[in-house]
Amino acid sequence: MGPGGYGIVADRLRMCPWSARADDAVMNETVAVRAVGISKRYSRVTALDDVSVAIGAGRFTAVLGPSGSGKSTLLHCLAGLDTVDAGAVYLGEENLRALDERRLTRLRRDRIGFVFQAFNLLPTLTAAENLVLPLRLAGRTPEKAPEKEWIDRVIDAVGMADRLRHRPSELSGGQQQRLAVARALVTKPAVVFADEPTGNLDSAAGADVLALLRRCVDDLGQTVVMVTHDAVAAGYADRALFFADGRVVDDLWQPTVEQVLERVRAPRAAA
Amino acid sequence: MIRVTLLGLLARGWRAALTGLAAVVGVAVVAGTLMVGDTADRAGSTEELDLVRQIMLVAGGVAVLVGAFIVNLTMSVTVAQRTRELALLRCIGADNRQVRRSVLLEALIIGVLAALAGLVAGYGVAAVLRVLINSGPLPGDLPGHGFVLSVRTALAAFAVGCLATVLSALAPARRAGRVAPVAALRDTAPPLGRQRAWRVAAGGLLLTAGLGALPVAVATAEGPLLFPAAALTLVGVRLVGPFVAGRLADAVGAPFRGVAGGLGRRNAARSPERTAATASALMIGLALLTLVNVLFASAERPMLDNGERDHADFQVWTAGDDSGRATPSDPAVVRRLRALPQLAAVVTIDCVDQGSQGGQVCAADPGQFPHVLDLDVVQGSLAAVTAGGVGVSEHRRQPVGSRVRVGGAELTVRAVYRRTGGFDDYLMQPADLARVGGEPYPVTAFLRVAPGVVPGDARPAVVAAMSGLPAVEVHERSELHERDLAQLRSARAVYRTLAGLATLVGLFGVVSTLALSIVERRRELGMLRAVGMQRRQVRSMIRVEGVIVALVGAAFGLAVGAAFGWAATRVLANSAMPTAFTLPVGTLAACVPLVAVAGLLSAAVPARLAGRVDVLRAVTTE
Repeated sequence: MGPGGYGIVADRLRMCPWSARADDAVMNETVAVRAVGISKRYSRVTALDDVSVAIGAGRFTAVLGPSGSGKSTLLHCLAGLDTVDAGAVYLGEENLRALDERRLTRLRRDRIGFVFQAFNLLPTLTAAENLVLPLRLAGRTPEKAPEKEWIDRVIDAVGMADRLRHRPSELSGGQQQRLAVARALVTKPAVVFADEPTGNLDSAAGADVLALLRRCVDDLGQTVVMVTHDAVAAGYADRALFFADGRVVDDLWQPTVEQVLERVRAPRAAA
Repeated sequence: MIRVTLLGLLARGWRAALTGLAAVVGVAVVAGTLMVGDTADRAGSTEELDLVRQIMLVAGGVAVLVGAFIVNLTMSVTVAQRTRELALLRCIGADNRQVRRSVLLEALIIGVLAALAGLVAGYGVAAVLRVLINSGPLPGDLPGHGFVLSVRTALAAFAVGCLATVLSALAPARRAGRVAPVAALRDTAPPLGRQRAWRVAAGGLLLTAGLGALPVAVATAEGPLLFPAAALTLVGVRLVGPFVAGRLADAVGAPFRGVAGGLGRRNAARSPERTAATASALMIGLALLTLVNVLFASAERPMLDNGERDHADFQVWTAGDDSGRATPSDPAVVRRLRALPQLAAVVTIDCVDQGSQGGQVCAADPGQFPHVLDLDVVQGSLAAVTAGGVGVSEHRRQPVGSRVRVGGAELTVRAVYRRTGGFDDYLMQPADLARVGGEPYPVTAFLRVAPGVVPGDARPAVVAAMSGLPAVEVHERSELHERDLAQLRSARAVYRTLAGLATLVGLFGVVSTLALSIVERRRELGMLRAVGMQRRQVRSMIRVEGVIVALVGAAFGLAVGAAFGWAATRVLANSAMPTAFTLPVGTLAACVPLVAVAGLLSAAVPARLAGRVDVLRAVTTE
């Protein structure tokens, strides 16, 4: 566990630039997705400033930072939702920059799962239909053996078995988000990206969803990257990346809520 | 508030333009027709154009009506979409009257703009009309090049445009005024127009009244009753529509498979109110189209039937006015014709008019008559129509043996025949015609060639036999029937075009609602794209939705049009233009794929919009 004092953290960062350190940290494990020196500018704002980061497979990574720090942009770029101005993003061996719109869409469909803060589900479809939507989009038949088995396992994991015939409007916020997690898992993606998945939930429902994401990593071996501003949420993660002004300013392993809170209270520490 | 309204309109640019688009067509037709009328007035050639003018004004009225339907729909949708914005206005101190007025002001501005655009487009309509008039399909002629744009035309255009939009905006404006300030704090806009029980009940009542009036109109032969019935039915469908539109959309969309097809189908079924409103705007045009097709098919059948029963190879009559009275009944001429070896039968027809009640009274030699025309006697026989006897058309409901008074003559019914063009009421011995009173006049002579003679070969002899008479026309049977059919068909083409125009305006409704729903569903579309829906799939999803909405409109239109077509043909069955109800199944069935294609085309632009939705902006919460 890191020591957590402001001076020491700053010191350590000065001594070891974060990107090199991150690569060191994950050197011995499989990398699910990697950003190499990526930058992204919106008209006047630099959202990402030469960021390099490697996300370990089978880990739960939280990305924290104040609004405007670039954490959501990082997620969008890693997930192939947004393009980078410089640098490259690799999902496994695949360079996302080399993909055209159609291939990128297919990659999102087959190899990436999404959980957004809200509007995850189509109101016209039942829970079950929402769940298998990515498979249907890919033209696969969820009723057949290999898919069916996995789907049943996912449904079991999210505890939605008795809600499958309901429409999203008939589900609570927490149930909707759990269903969204299930939907994200259904294609066995390389990475699940979650953007403030508990942002619209009360704390109990939020805890449910976070515990579920944790189980996805522990029981199903899933890789999860979550953007959040909530220290409690980050406490569920294996690793917490702190963002400020488009750069990673800190990187905590096995973060505790206290460490994260402390870190969040001193946001400009490394700037 | 005015400033806020104007800025809001500008900010919504193309969406506001969509609202007005549907009104433009109606204004353009009205303005174009008025321009043509004024231009003709100046040139002094108006009379022949009167009919065209009337028909076009009715068509313009229908187009304005459909346009108003669509303005109402699009205004409702935009008000629902702007719930939060309107609520914010309420929060910062606007009272409900100010909000209501701002929506009405918006409608007025859109109306003025639509009127301006309609006036410009009116020149186009006028130009098309001129081409149609001068090249033949429409009667009359219209000299010159420019068009007269009178103050009256301009005023009419503005009145029509503004009235249509402002009246259509009344209900949405009232709804906007009712938006609670607290709605500004809620996340989602409430769904457009909840399904209320009283609406279904009232709509059901109106629909029953409207359709129930049809058999009454048929039984009493009161044609004008059909107009209020149509109005009731229209409003009834609009009210009941949402109740059935969801299920109908689901049923119609059943053939659409695959994920995009399935989602498109769900989307069409998800807001029955909107689907029903869009479909009923389309319904007006399609119902008219169906009505036109049924009416003309029903008029064509008796005509074709007449053709089959007509054995007269030639008909001869005097052309132009009847002042000369140099007629085929001239005994000398008849004698000459009868002497021709090429002819087997010569039957002259003289008639006398007894006014609209007494009907058409004609005389011919009953013994000879069956050789030239099969009257299709249903009771008695024509041979029995001797002196003092009469043959009566079936629709007069006078059985054989009964005594009828025809003008001054008291006659006994000896034969009842199926109503046949030209012999609409009574047929009797030539000797009895004088007793009827009035002024008998010769109508025509039916000639039949002898067996083995080709009609074309007999023609010179017939013409020669009548050479002494001026202005006599000799017509061959095929030519007469073709001419009648051609007339009927060109009239049908005109009416079909007009109904097509109303359908076109209805399709604008599909374009507008789909495009507006894309704005509304931006988030959803972004999410779909994020989880892996290809642009192509998004586009086909929207296209499926367009096709389904159009097909629901077609279902409404075909049903209503067929019902009114039935009633109208039954009412007209006993008119001078007899009709026998015929459902032109082939033609109507052909409408379905056409409408589907039209729906597909209407969805083209919305589908492109949907495909272009920025995934990132859609999925990030602002």
